[in-house]
Amino acid sequence: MSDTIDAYAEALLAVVRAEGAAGADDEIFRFGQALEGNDELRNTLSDPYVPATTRQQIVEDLLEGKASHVARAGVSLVVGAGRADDLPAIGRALVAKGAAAGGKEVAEVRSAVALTDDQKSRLAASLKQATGKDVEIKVTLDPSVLGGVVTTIGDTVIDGSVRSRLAQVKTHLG
Amino acid sequence: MIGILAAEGPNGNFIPGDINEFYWGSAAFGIIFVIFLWKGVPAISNLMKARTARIEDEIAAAAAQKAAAEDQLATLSGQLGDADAEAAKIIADAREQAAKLEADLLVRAEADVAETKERSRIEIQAQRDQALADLRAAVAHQARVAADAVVRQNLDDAGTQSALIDDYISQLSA
Repeated sequence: MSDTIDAYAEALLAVVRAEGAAGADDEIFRFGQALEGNDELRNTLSDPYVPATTRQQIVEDLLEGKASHVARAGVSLVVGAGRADDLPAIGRALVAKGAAAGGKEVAEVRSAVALTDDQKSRLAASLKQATGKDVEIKVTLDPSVLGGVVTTIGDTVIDGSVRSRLAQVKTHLG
Repeated sequence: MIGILAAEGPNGNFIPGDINEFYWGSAAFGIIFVIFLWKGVPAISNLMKARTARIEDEIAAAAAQKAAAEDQLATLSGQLGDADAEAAKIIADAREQAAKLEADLLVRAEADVAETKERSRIEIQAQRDQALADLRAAVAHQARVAADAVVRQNLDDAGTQSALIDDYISQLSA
C-alpha cells in the first residue's frame, strides 16, 4: 500500500471517528468499488482538465441522499485532490484500518446478488472458522460473478463463484 | 643419191653424164657423212643416252614415289584402322555411360516418386488431423456456449442464487 493511499485512509478514518459517522467508511468503500467498475465515471472524476469544483459537484450529485455527509465530504476531498483513481484503494485501506482497530480483518465479498443479514453472519462465522480470524464482511455486488461468492481476505482469495466453475469447465472442454 | 640414180640421164643411163659431179658429190657426201659419224652420231648417242638416263631417272623417281606412296598408304591404312578402333571404343564408352545414366535417372525418378507419395501422404494426414482438431474445437466451443447459456438461464432464479451462497457458506464451514 502506498504511503499516499495509507495517509488518505488514516485521515478519513480519523474524520469518520471524530464525527462519529459509523458506516461512513463503508459508504466510502462502496463508492470506491462502484468507481472501480465504471470506466466513464472514473475517467471523468480523474480528468485533470475538468475543474475540481465540477468533479466535486458530480460527487455531491451522485451521493445526495444516498450517503452520509461525512462520506460525501470524504469522497469529495479525495476527488478534489485529483486522487479519484486511488479512491478504490483508499476505500479498501480505510475499512481495513477500521476493522483492524476492532481486532478484525476485512473480508471483501463479491456476489451477483445481495446477501441477507443471516447469510452475512453465517458467512462471517464460517470465515472465522476457516481462517481463524475475526472478519468484517464488506459485500460488493458484481454481476460478473454470475452466482456464488468470491471472498478476499488480505492476499487470500476463496473463489466459489459460478464464473470460476464455468471457466474450469471451459478449460476442461479445451 | 637415189634420186640421182633414179634420174635418167640424157644418154639413157642412170648415172649422170658429168661424172665429176658424181665424184665431187660423193666426196662431199662422204665428208659430210664422216663428219656426221664423227660428231653427229656421238651427239645423238649422247642425247639418246641422256634421254635414256633421264627416262630411267624418272622411272626410278616414279618408283621411289610409288614406294613412298605405298608406305604412306600403309601408314594411313594403319592409322585408319586405329581410328576405327578408337571410334569403336568411344562409341562403346558412350553407350556404357548412356546405359549408366539411364539407370541412375531411373533410380532417381523412382526415389522422387516415392518421396512425393510420402510427402502427399503426410500432407493428407496433417490436413485430416487439422480438420479433426478444428472439429473438436468447434464442438468444444459449442459445448461451452451451451453450458454458459444453460448456467446463466438457471441463475436468473433468486432461489438458485441464494442456494449457491448457502452452499458456499456450508463448504467453508466443512
